[in-house]
Parts: sequence; structure tokens; C-alpha cells
Amino acid sequence: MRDPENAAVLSEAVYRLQISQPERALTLAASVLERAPTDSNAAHLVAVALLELERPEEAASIAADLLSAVPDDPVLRGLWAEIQQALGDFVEAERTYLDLLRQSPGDVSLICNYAGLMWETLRLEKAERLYAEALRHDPEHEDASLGHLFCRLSSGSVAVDDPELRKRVDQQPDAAASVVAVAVALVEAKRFAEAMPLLQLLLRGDPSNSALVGAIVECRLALHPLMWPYRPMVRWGWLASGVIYVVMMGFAVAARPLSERLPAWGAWVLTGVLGAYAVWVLGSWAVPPALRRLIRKRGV
Amino acid sequence: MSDNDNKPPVVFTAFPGGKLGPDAGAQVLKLHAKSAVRMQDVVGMAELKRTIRLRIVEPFQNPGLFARFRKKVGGGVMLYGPPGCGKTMIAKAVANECGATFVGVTLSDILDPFVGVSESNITEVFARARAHKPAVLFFDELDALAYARSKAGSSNARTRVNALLHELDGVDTQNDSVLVLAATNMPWDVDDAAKRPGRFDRLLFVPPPDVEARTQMMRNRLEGVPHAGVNVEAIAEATKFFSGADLDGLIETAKEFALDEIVSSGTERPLCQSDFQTALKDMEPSTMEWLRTAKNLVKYGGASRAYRDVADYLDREGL
Repeated sequence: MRDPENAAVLSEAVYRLQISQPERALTLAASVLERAPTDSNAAHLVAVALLELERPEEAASIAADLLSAVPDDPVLRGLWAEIQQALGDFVEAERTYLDLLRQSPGDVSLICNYAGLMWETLRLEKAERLYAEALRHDPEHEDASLGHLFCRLSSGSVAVDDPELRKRVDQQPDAAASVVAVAVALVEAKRFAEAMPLLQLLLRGDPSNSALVGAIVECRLALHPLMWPYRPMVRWGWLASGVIYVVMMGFAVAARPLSERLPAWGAWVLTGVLGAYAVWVLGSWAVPPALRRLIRKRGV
Repeated sequence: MSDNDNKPPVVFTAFPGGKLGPDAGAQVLKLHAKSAVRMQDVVGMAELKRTIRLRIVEPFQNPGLFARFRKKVGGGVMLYGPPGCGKTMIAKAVANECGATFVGVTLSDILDPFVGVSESNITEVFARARAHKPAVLFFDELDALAYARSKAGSSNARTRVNALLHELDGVDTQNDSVLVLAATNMPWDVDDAAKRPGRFDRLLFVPPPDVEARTQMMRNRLEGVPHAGVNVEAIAEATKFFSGADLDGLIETAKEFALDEIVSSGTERPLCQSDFQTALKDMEPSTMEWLRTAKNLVKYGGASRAYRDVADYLDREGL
């Protein structure tokens, strides 16, 4: 029978995992494991916490030990699949998920994890089908809902301006899933002004998220007044750059014979236009990185 | 001078020695006033102490004045800041200055694997505080107890937050003269509803100790330890952003260097400046990660005015 003190500590460790505090969970579960080295629940929690802390190699070693004692335990095998996925062994992860799904075809978390693997390996259509299947079992499942939304946004079966989707974001700003999906889609569509408040909302809930900070910095950069001359490049990328280059080269070729026929002020105008283009080109190399550095340093 | 000044403060943990039970009251742990932390024991941080005195302690010490202005005594205050910077110590000092009963609550006091027990533990904690008015109810690690429901992975965590919010509102009961203090390293993880007016609506930033505090802390910690030629002021200047815990670590490392040399040379010597300089080479303030996260919040996240203290601090310190 388990020591009640250890049980209380493990109960807190489970709670810490639920509230995204894997470091504390690891400390607690490891302390129990030190006192009771044969406690498989403690070892399991240590492995889960290590996986959350992005230390899959250590998690794999503990999970392998546990599986050698109970090779058919579905929870442990699910963890094993997640660890293999984190380690990049997608074949082993998929094999394990498929085995488990044969035994429990209605396990929504398992379906979502398998869909996540499909998403990671860019099999997006299969991922979308799996998320839809998960939602059929549990329409309120948050991970399934988020995954499905991402898949639909990326396949174009739902647009970022979809009224239902925007209504969901407006009415439930706390529902991170839909906010994440819409924010990512807006950034990809280069609609930075609309993406910014959503990204800020997400960052307020998770301020240590460097990916969100990076996205906000890029939004601020794109929206900065000093970047206005480079709007076409921000919006259309290299295509805009190439078109402007071709136009300006054509203009430069035409300018030489033209300038001989124009009065003096006309030649100055032509020179000014070409000079401005040269400044614009130089600025396109210098302004964005300098501005990005300033935004990162000062947050402006 | 209020009546409270002569009353020795009673300090007890919410569930001394275990979970609640019919005899839990008999286990109340009484401490003498002399052993309790007072505000003067919190070194440096003059600005923060002034704010605490004005906004928290005075209403308790001069209830008449505040009653004339129809200002409620009590309410919720959330202390937040990097870990190891004295939030818990400040909370205890506040309770002492207020002459109030201190009820300290940690997550393990509340948490119970059985459904509904955690919620009833929360109710019981508040009932206990109300029974010992004036009281300071102190929740350590509020981020764990009132974790944002939108992010919580389980419905249990959500019901726990609901129970806490219900008690904070004191709808069925009176929370007058009960000051609810909370400390957290991660205020952004605390449910937004808990930060609304009437709940933890006053947020106080507890920064890393300033140079004055660090100097005093070093002096206190070196008391009774053989040392010679240690320039405490210079060390305090060199330890910007160090938390109290970091300073403890620094002193311990310096001691290890000195003892290592003593053992290998066989000649005893006091702790000296070079021990600290060597120790400092390998140390980085543990508060930096927190401060970087806070910077993200206020500079990029468009955080509300509630975090203005942090924004001012970051600007002042050039972060």
C-alpha cells in the first residue's frame, strides 16, 4: 500500500502538470521516486514531466524501464509514442498509435495525438480527418477543436474572415485555441494590424513564449512608419521587389536619351528619382534589421 | 496607537500537521511576537514599504479614520515579483504590523485528490480567517491555486478557482477586516477574474532587492562569520538584480572557496574579498529570466496599467 504522504505529493505533481508547471511536477515526483524507487506512478510522472520539459531522451529511458515490466499498459504505450514523436522516430510513434487505436478506437486524446503526428509530418488531409473523427466523439474537445481549425485554415476550407470563426474569437477571447488559429492565419495572410491584438492577448497569458514575442516584433516592424516605403515588399515579398527592379531598370534605360531632350530641371528630376530608388534599395537592406533590433531592445 | 499594538500576534498555518479535522483548531501554532517578522526586518525597498504602510497597514491600524471615509478595511492584495525576493516575508511582516492573525495557506494545504474536498478546504480556510478577525489570509503561489481557467487542463482546476472566487467575493459572508494577501511569481497565470475589483484588485510589485537592501542583507549574513577586508558596498554594487536567495548562494559559495583553501593549506583565515570575487564569476542573478518574461508582458503584450510598477522598474534599470 502506498504511503499517504507520497500519494499526496504525487497528487500535487499531477495537478502541477495540469497547470503547465512541469518543473515543479518533476521535483515532486522525483522526490517520491527517491523515497520509493519502485513506485511506478512516480516514475511515470517523472517521464511525463521530462517530456514536457523537452528532455525526451531521459523520458524514454524511464518509460522503457516501465514498459519492460508492463509491456501492454496502454497509458505507458501512449506516453512511449509521444516520446518517440518528440525524438523524431515517427515510424515507431505511428506504429504505436495505430496499435493503441486498434484497441481503443474511441479514445479522443489518442486520436488527437495521432493527428498531431500527421500534422507534424505534413500529412494534413489525414490530420484533418482524424481531428474531425475526434470531434465526432467529443465535440467540446479543445485540442481536437484547435487542430481541426488549423487544418481547415491551412487547407482553405475555412477562411480567416469566416464569420463563425471571428464570432467565436470575439465572444470567447479566453478560448486560446481559436485565438491562436486566427492569429496565425492573419500573420500568414500578412494582415499584421488585425493579428497584433490577438497576439498580444495570447502573450499576456504566456509571456515567456518567444515565438509569440517574435511574431509581435515582426508585426510591429511591418506596421512601423519607417517601413511604409517597403510595404509592397512586406506584402508581396520578392515578387514586389523584382517588379520594382524591372520597372526602375526600364526607367533608367529610358532616362538617358530622355534627359538629353528635357530641360535642366527635368534631368534633375530624373536623377532624383533614380537617386531615391538607390536610397530605397540601400534602406531595404539597412532599415528592417536596424528597426527590428530597436523594437527588440526598446519594445517600440 | 491602536489596541492591536499590544496584542501578541497569533500565527498559524491553515492546517498544521495535516488536513482539516474536528480537532484542527487545537493544533493552532502560536508564536511569540519577538520571533515574528516585522516590517523593519525587511531591509531596503523603502518605496514598497511606504506603499504597503499606506495602502495596507494604516487601514488596519486606524480603522476609525477609514470608517469615517467609508473606506473598507481588508480586501485582496497580490504581491508579485521574481522568486526569492521576499514576498512571503513581506506578507508575514504585514500581518504583524496589522496586529492581525496570520493564516498561511499553501497549495498542498488545499489540494486533495477526492472530488470536492479541495473546494471545501478553501471554504474552511476563509471561515477560519473570518473567525479570527482581524486576520491576514496569505495564499502562497496563487498562480497554482487560481490558475487561469482558460488554460487549465482539467475541470477540477476550474472548480477550485470558482470556489476561491466565491470566497473572495464573500457573498454569503463578510470579509471585512480580513486582508487576503497572495504571492505569486507568475501573475500572468492567475485567472483574470481573480484580479477584478473586490478580489485581488491591488497588485504590488516586489522587485529584486535594491543596493541598500543588498548591502544590509550582506551585513546581516556576515554577522558572526569570520571575515576581513570585505567591501560589502562593492559586492552589493556588483550584485545588481540578485535576489535574497542569490545573495545567500553567493555567500555560501564564497565560504566554500575559503574553506577549500583553508583545508588544503592548513592555515585558517577569514573570509575575504577575493572569495566573493571568485564566487561572483560563476553566478548570474536568478531573477533575470523572470524580468525578461515581465519585459515581454509590458513591452510587447500591451499589459494593463496594473503592471505599471514593473514597466517603471524595467525602464529605470535600463532593461
